[in-house]
Amino acid sequence: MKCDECLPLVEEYVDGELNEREAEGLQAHLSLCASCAEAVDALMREQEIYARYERDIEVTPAMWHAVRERIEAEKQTQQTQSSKTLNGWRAWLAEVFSPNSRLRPAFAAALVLIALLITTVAVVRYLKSRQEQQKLATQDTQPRVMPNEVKPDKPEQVITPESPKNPNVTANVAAPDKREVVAASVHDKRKALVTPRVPQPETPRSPALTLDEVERTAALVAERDALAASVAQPSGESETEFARHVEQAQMLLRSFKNAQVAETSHALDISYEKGQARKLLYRNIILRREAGSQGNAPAEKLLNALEPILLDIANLLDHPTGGDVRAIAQRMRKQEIMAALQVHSIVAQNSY
Amino acid sequence: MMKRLAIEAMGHAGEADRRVAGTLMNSAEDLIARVRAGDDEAFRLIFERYARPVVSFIYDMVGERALAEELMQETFVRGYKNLGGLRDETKLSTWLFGIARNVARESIRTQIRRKRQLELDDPSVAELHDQRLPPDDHLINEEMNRAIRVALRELDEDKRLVFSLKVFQQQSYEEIALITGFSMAKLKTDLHRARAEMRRLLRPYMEVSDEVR
Repeated sequence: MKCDECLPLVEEYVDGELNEREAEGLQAHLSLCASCAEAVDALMREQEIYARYERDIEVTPAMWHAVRERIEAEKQTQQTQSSKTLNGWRAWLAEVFSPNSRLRPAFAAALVLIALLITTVAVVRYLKSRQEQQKLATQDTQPRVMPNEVKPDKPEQVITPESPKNPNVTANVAAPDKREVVAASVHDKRKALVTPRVPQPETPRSPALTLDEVERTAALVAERDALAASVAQPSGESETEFARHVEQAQMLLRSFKNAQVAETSHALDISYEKGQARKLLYRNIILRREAGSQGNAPAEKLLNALEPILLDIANLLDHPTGGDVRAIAQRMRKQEIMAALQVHSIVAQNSY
Repeated sequence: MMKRLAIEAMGHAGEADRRVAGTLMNSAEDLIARVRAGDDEAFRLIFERYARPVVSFIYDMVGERALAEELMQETFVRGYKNLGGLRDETKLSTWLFGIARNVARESIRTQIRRKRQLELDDPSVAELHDQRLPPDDHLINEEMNRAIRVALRELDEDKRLVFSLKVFQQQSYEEIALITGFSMAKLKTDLHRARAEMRRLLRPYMEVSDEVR
């Protein structure tokens, strides 16, 4: 360190404000430079003079008493002000509500008006929110066309005496009854097919059925009914919600799978699927919790299996790598989530 | 000054000793928590710990004893009222000095013209610019005290503030920056200039003091 570097640091050195490295450097210079060492000594002598400085002022107990009295006075003032305010309000209210008060009728009328106004505002806001909720519910039921969508094949309807739709038919109907009905109708109407998709792959429609085929079909229907019994639908109002959710989740996963299949060397654009996944994810969580609270274990299990996949899709980048997309698709295949969704979808439709 | 304080603290006997010991055993955080819970005794301990440095600082700033005592009381009353607003990470001493600085500054603003007039008329100022004083031993300290007091009043407010906090109150640069709101650059510049100015005003007395030694 040189003198012109040292001298500007002398005050900070004496004040103890230099860091260790700077202090060591300066000390090394001071040991070699008499003039800089003298500057430090002069500064330290000044400090000693200031350290001996005595002021003509002392702290006495009287000062503390004075402080305490002022604090007490402040507290008293605050309490007086707040009680004055409170008493003021009390006096005013007593006057207003006194039997002889001229303000009483006017005040009563004003109170009634205010109450009416508040009630009106509350009712209007309630009605508005209901309207908005109904609007949203209506929008959700509209079918969405997603890019690369492969429309699901409509499952063949079971021709039963209750068909095409009977809201009274539930999955809890005893299997043997249904089996007899189906077998009878197949015998009678050979063109009507029962082609349950789960767990078997789709079978092509055949205009004519052999007896073997009919028996096989009846067995499949029985299996389906047993499965439907295990796939209990959510009760009440959430039944529609659940069915809609399952259908939309199916469409999303098909779209996602198709996007992966159509992958090229360029990055995929799945921003739309991401947005859908995010919306479905929120609904999935709510429905899963509802299913759990209703004790609907099969529905809860399905939604539990679906949720991580929706989360993965929602968390992808807008232009993800092929590897990321393939990982999710593999997971979907492993969990057979598409098949599970399809089962629930069919059962839900047949429940209607 | 600090040595004297330490000696005084050690020399007290009886109740004063116990009071000091009690003060030292209570950390600032404990005392603050107790005051917030309504313990006025804890605030008395805070007062005992910080009253002297605060009143010394204010006295350096305003130069009048009675005024300094009054402003010190005001500082602690404000401190009591606003203790709820003290952030946990702020040192109590830094916070109190901040209040003291504001209180002193408000007072200075209202008295600045009067003070300037006083300085012009004060014979001690005329003496400061005279030749060196006679080297009378027993008057050295007294004269030096007066000289320092008067020299401080010659400094402008910012330099006086920084000089007092650093040289007399031994606050770190960081703490001074928190108390004053000054940047580090301004702080160092003001301190350097304050020292130079004080050196110039006190040179005769310092030379006398050197001779006596």
